[in-house]
Amino acid sequence: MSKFYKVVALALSLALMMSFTACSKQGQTQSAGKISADAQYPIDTDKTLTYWVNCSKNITASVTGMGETEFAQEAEKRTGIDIEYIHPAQGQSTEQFNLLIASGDLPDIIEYGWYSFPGGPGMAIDDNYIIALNDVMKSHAPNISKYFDEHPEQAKMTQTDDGRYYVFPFMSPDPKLLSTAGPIVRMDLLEKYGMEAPVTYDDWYKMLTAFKNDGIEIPLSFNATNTHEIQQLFGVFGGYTDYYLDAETDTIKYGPFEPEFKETLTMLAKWYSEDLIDKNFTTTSTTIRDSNVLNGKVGATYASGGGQLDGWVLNAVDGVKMRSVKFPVKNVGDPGSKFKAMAYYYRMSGAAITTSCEDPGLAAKYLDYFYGDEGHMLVNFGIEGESYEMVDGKPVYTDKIMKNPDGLSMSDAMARYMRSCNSGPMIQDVGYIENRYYLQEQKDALVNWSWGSDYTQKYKLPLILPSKEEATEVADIANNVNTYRDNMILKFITGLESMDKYDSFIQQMKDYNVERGIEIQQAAYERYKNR
Amino acid sequence: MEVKNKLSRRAGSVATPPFADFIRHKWLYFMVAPLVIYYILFHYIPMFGLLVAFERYVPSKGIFGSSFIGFENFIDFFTGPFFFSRLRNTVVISLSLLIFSFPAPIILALLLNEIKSKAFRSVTQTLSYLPHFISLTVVCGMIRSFTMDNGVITDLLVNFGFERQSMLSNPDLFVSIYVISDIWQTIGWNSIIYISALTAVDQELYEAANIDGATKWQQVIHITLPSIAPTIVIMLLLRIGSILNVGYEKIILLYNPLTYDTADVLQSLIYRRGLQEFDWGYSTAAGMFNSVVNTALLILSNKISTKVSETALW
Repeated sequence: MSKFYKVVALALSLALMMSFTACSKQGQTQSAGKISADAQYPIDTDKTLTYWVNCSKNITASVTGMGETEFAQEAEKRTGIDIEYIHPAQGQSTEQFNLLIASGDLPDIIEYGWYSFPGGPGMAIDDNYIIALNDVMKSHAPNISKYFDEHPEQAKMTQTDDGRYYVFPFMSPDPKLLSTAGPIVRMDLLEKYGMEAPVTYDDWYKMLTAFKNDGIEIPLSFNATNTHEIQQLFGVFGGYTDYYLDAETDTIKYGPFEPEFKETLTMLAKWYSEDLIDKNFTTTSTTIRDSNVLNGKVGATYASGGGQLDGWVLNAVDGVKMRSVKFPVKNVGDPGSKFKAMAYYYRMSGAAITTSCEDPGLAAKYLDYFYGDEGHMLVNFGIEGESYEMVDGKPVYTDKIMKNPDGLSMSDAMARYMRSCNSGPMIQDVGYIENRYYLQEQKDALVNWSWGSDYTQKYKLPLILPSKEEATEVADIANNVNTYRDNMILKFITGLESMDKYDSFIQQMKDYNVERGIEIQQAAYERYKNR
Repeated sequence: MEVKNKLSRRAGSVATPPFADFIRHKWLYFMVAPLVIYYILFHYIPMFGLLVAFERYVPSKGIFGSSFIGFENFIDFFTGPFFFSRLRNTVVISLSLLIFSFPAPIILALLLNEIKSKAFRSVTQTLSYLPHFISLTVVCGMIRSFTMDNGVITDLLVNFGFERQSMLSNPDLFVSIYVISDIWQTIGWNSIIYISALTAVDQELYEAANIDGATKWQQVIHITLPSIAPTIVIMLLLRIGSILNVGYEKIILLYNPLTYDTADVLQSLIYRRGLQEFDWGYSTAAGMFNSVVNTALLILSNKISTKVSETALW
């Protein structure tokens, strides 16, 4: 028997030794990885990375999480790296991200709108949540490094003021990808009235009045239920509710302090009092608006080209023709809409590697894959032969996407194969939007809505970052001002507050220290220019 | 728990050895143990988190590593431009609930108690529970669409001379909508406790009253209400203890910037600052203020109740 024990003991100690060597071997590959930066995929590893990312409802329409999508499985196969996805509850991503950060128990990779991290992304690094990526990008991420070298202006957007990279960014470097929502009107009625597509605000007023006189229940349907939507509403009709860059003077200004804001406010209040705007515009939802549109109750609205316009075109009844028009301007001949909603090339989000990640090099390699040629095609179009085919050198979606055999909608089917339809660490390809906007009406919309984008671009506040202390100050100012401002804007429009109070409205915002806010933004802008 | 302790204390006074009580009631202690552990784990230990209220809290540095800033968060909270208006909104909504929504289930219970047909009574009772089981999000979705300018409820009210309007866009109507929908949601469910209290009322009292020629109304006033008064007082005390906790989930689902003036309460303010803008210190400070006020009110009202009615929580 004692012999038996000896054998067992020997076997055990051998096993122990083996595991030690295995450990040191792993250590070796890790250091070796640093030398051979352009490692070939798939990478030979048995490690699993945990990846926190918001799961689009297009994915949950057919499977439970990203891990089950064809995209994720193909990516795992090609990179050789197993990913364990962690998703926040639907519609709760901000709250759950907050809890995740507060818990201190971080996954390896967090994909989030890191640009808007309170205190700035630099603080996320300084407070030890995520790592600065400069070194790891240099050693393990040749694709994104090359992209940044070739596009220094875009690289600048994704940095902190002191030149640190914090995410593998989501980039949309084409104007067509940036204006995917805009004004849509009942073209059939305009034809009936013998009117042209509206160009100026006055044209809009005439058009909306005509709608109303024709018995259209809601001449202009627009949601303004939160800060973001109120900003959109103003942007369409010429004012701005927040800081912007004044191109003429190269200084930061605060929209509500400028005359065009008052003009827009007065105009909207007039429209509201004449029953041209939806009476429920502060409480309604997109779902309700969409059903109103399909029932022919709406004359004009603001909506997205993929998901809304296409549905309205395809499901139109009784000759209703919802068609895109250009963003309105003040005078005929104006170069474009100054404040229309338009995204940045850098979409302010991306995948960051956390301080809990034991092997940042591996995480970087995984993420970098999507910026290389093969990965770019996978993340943008999916799997060749399955979700797309190359036709005349251009990727074109197959019927699996366009007419899904399982009955999935186009968006839901796309979400299974690619990430370009939502967001992710990638360079979004313009081919995505050209494929997705497959109807002629949608293609027209892209042209209409991106008209004058160069002009809009000049006035957009660059992606500046206040310093740590300033960030707290700016946030405090914004907290007070935004609550007050949104409240007052809606009161002015609905007539609960008369326009005579406008000056005290401006004064109150000044008392909330907006002028200090402008100063901080200006200083941050100077630093941005010097990045 | 309190009741149980009292019971065991009374029982304990009989036996002299210190652990006799434990041994004698070991199964009762065993049964209460999970609850005690629960309270320690989830309600007492987390109280250390209150330290966050005095810090510029950074989770990665932890509660003990973050920089201490004294009362700055509290000063921020109290001197913020919205503190008083939000406090006022909170109290207004809370008091309205206390005045209108609190008595509703009692009245319902009394009414149900008078119904003779058993079948009709149980059907009514079951129907009145139903809203309790609808998810809050759905309830609020219903309220929102019913109160639009062409909503069902608006249509109904217009027949009575009410001005056609988008009701949730009118700051003056918010509290009414909130309270009325609250009554609808909770009346059935909250009446259960009163109905069970009513079944315990001694039937002989009614018989005696009948013989003395008391009317139904007199019976309700002099027999039924006094019999369930302890239950009512306990429920009222608990309610007062959460007077600053207006159900903010429902507020957030129903309000919009236009109705901030009457709808935005302390807790929705805390929610926006804490969970959406990551200002942990500030929101902990505000939450602490809430709890302190609530506890103070609870203790105060319990004292008053002990004096006046001899019914108390402890």
